[in-house]
Amino acid sequence: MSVRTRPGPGEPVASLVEVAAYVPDTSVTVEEAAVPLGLSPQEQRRYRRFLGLDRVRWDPAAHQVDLLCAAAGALESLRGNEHRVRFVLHARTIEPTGPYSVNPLHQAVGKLGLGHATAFGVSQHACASGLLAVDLAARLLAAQGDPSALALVLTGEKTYRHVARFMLAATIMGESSAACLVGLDGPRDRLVAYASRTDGRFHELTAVSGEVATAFGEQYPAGLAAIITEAVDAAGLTLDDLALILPHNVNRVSWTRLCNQLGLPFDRVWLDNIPRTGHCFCADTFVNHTDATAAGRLRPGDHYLMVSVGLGATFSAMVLQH
Amino acid sequence: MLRLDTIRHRTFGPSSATEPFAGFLDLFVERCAPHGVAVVDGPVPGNHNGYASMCLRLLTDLCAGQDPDAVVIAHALPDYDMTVSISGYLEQRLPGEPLIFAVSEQGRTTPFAALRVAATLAAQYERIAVLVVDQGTIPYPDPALSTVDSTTDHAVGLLFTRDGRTPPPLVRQLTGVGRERLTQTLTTELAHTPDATVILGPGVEQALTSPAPFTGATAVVGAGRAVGPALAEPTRNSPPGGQWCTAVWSRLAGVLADPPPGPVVAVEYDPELGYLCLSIFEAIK
Repeated sequence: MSVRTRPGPGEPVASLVEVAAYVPDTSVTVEEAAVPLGLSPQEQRRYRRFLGLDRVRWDPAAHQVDLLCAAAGALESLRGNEHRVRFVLHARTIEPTGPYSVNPLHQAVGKLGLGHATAFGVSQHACASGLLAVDLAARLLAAQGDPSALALVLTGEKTYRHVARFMLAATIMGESSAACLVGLDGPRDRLVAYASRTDGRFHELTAVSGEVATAFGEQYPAGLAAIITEAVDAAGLTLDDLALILPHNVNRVSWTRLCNQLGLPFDRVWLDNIPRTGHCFCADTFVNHTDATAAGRLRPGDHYLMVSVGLGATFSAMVLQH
Repeated sequence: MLRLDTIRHRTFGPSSATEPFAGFLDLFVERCAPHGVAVVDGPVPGNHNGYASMCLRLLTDLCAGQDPDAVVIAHALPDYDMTVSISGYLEQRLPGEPLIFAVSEQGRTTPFAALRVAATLAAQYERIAVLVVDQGTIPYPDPALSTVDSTTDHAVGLLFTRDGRTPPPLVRQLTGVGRERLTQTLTTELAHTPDATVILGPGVEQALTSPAPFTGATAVVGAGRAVGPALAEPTRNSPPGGQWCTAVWSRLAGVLADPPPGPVVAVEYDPELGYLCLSIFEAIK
């Protein structure tokens, strides 16, 4: 599957008005995380030495709604502009968050003063659902005709031991969250192109070992390279035009391989958070956006790429211009 | 939005997979515990149908010879089979490389959000399937779901194409509509489409206390509970049931099998969220 979007002449261009993140203060080491996750000493060594993980951020006291509100509450542009928000999308890796009657998305919408907005969840691209949600938010805004309207994309999920047990042994999940305010025709972070492909050969989510898992591991770098290339092509750019890649924080080794495959300089991929946060579902690339921007890694006019992969398996990449 | 070409309703009995995968109950135990909700101990009552296989069978009915290039799945109730990615499962079985994703978290009105999202895809995709699915195997007790029918699962598919027989629907989603404002708000909304056939979802039926909204309607289709004696004559009842977000759409499929002359308005309400949603289908060719 492949989808590309690039606004035509005269069509509004979506932009990221602001991105904010919540990174919990509480962190545990790989070795400390190994206790509740049941990781063997061999797995701990693999995570630390081979995959580049060190600590993971968890917020044991927080519920799902708290993660969403903490990220959205950090959006300075949201304050005073709540009335402009028409849509709230929660991009999710795992759909159920708890009992049906407890709806964290709508709880968050109420707490944030956004009860007038239409809110819903977006899923089935797993950890790549965040980029899908930005694309859908852009489409919804363009369709509703008010150039001042905004959409809020929320990402971040609670992690549980169960999740780790049924994920491929390539990362440790964290509980950082992010909020992304999307608008039309903004001055910065303009959406240039989006590409996404689902490779259904890997639809079995519990295939954590055996032939399918091995095949996914082998296909992963090629699938990632292909979607990045497609997004860059759709933007009318080359890889050399990208100032920075904001990846999902699965592990360091997969990005090393990708850089080798694409001939990308390693320092053009923002990997600072991999040893710090763990892999935070759909939130990674947005968390990286806030940190890279704060570090001055994006200058006005720079093209950059947000990229993520979801189990199932969906590869997605989005080109933006700062 | 593209035009509505086909609408199909399919029901599902017990699946051959009677036992959940090993982590199914664990997943809900972890997620329900912080809210003080205990997962059922023992076999989970229900048909044990997963959305991936339900969607595939529905697509077979819906899209004969017209495989979709985009599929938007709408569900409010949790999936039973979480061993597979629905999008990956369908992608592997459909020709081409369709865009597939799911919309959820809007209770009974979730399909209206899916229709709204699907409308935004129309410039890029030519055959868009919106699949609305309900499965009733729920592994925990929840008072809000006490009326869910776990004996029959439902799926309704709507296929939109460039040359479909029904004009693109207009979708209205109103938020913050408390029960006390429901009748007045619905009256105002329906005044825009007089002489319509109004199809009620169970959410709006159960919340309405007055038949006033339907004074301009030529027919009201629902389970009959809310329409009242004043509208007994123009009412065509459909069987009541414990369908969740599929109910109004299966009723719509029944109505469009023999289309009335005027517009058709599908209405659903989620009282917990305060969402009142309408989908207006203009006169059918």
